[in-house]
Amino acid sequence: MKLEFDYQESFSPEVTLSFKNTLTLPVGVTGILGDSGSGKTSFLRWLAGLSLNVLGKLHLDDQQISSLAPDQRDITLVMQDSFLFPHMNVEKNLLFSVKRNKGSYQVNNLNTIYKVFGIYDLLHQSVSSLSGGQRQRVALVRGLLNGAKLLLLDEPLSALDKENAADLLSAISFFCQKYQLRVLMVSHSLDHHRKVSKQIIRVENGEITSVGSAISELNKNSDVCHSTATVHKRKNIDGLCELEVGDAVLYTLPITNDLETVTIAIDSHDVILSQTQHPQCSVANQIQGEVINWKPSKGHDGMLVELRVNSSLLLKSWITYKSYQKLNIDEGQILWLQFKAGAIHCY
Amino acid sequence: MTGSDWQAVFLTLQLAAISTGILLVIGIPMAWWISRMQSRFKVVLESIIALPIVLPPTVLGFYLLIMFSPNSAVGSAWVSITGSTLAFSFTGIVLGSVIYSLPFVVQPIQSAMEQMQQGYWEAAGSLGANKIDRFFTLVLPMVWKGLLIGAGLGFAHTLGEFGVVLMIGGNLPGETRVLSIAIFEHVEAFEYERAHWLSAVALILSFTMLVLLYSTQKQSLWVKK
Repeated sequence: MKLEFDYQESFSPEVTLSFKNTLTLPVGVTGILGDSGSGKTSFLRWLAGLSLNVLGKLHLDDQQISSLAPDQRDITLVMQDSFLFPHMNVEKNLLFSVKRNKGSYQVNNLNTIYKVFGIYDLLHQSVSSLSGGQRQRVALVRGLLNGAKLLLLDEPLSALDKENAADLLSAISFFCQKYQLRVLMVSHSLDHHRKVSKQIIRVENGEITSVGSAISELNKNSDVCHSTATVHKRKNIDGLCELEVGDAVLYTLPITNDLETVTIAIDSHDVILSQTQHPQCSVANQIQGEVINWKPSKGHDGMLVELRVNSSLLLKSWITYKSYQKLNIDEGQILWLQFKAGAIHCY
Repeated sequence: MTGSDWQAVFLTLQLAAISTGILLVIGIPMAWWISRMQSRFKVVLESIIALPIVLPPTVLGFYLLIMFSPNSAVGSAWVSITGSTLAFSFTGIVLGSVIYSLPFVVQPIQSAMEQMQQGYWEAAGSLGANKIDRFFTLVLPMVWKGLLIGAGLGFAHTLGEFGVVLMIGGNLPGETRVLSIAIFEHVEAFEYERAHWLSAVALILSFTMLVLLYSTQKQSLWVKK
């Protein structure tokens, strides 16, 4: 799906937003990442048609829609504050959306969706009896049932704890695949993006600064390295999970989900560099990599060394200046990277 | 209480019911329109609607009387359409009551609408509900307490109307002789016992109305965060 936009809004001489780009949105979630106050919410509201007095150009699959009222757009926005209708119970809130389906897809088995998103038991409750997290679940499902071509989610899971958010994100991914739905999701949580975003739009000071694959965007200026890994063995003879990244095999703790590919994140502070292998050592992962780059870390408290293990796996290691001198770091140098099984975080 | 006294009571109830009905029909869209207004004209409009609260009813009645006279444009148009005059008629005092009680109906409804968070309106719009759809499925049910208060106040206020009716309606039994006028007449004729009975009826009616009204006043949960 193609989304072309030129959006400008000025709140004061100092605060001006200017979002201009042509994006190809894949099925699934495209994440929007940026500091608060960078204009993400205003941008989503404009896409949804809620700031009609703001001029701009918006094309959805080559159809010009900038002058359409929100109810005429093939775009649905789920706001952070949920805004469940207080005079209707949960089920009526959901049916409000079902009855006004925008026609790109229709969900026939509502009860299944309610169960997957954990709101089946809430259906007959009044909205005022729900917790913040429950409200967000209901608002999310209300948005999903609206059958729009593009769904906008503004911090949809901010009131949920980590585990619940992860479950819901998996459910969103699954839903997108099934109904060929595109989602633009604003979230502060890197974990949310690691879990579902396929593409990431980075926003800074009211402008889009970059758009790229989730892995490459997450790796930018980060102390944490991300890769896509294939689950090779869910549980090997030692009780560990074996992941493959290119030709490298990594050992991590058993993972609870049933995904075939996962996004892994390894923090540079968890990676040890060594000139020799240590067979008599507790560390689960010892692999060789080639030094390609190094620079002082953000806080200038050490060196951040970047190493390539293979074409799919780049890792960073944070070391002190003393270690940097001791190892005599140089380009092309081959070193052993060591990190514990628990240092690999799977999403 | 004599037959003519009861007639005055029923006439008053009839006047209040019809006026309240008309007031809701014009007051709800008016309240919605004003609550969505952003221009400076809003203040002017709000002031015009609030005028009957501060204006002496006799002043309002005086202007209405002039407007109703067959020599005026409105009065003569009415005569040519219906064949009767507005002044000293039941229709005339209904019209007077509608103007007189308008602020009591519009203001509570408007304030309920203004307290409704914009987000509900926007969320429903994004879910594909057009404006008319949203007005009926969202706005009206969400401001129902404001509607109730508006209707109740409009009704109660019309019950107590005196000056306007006196000016434009006179004292025609079964036509314009409402409760307050009948009481006034009894007092003037030193028929204190009949005045007592009618006053007691008026007191009980108004008190009951207000008790019913305030018992629904529990702050609704969703108007403010």
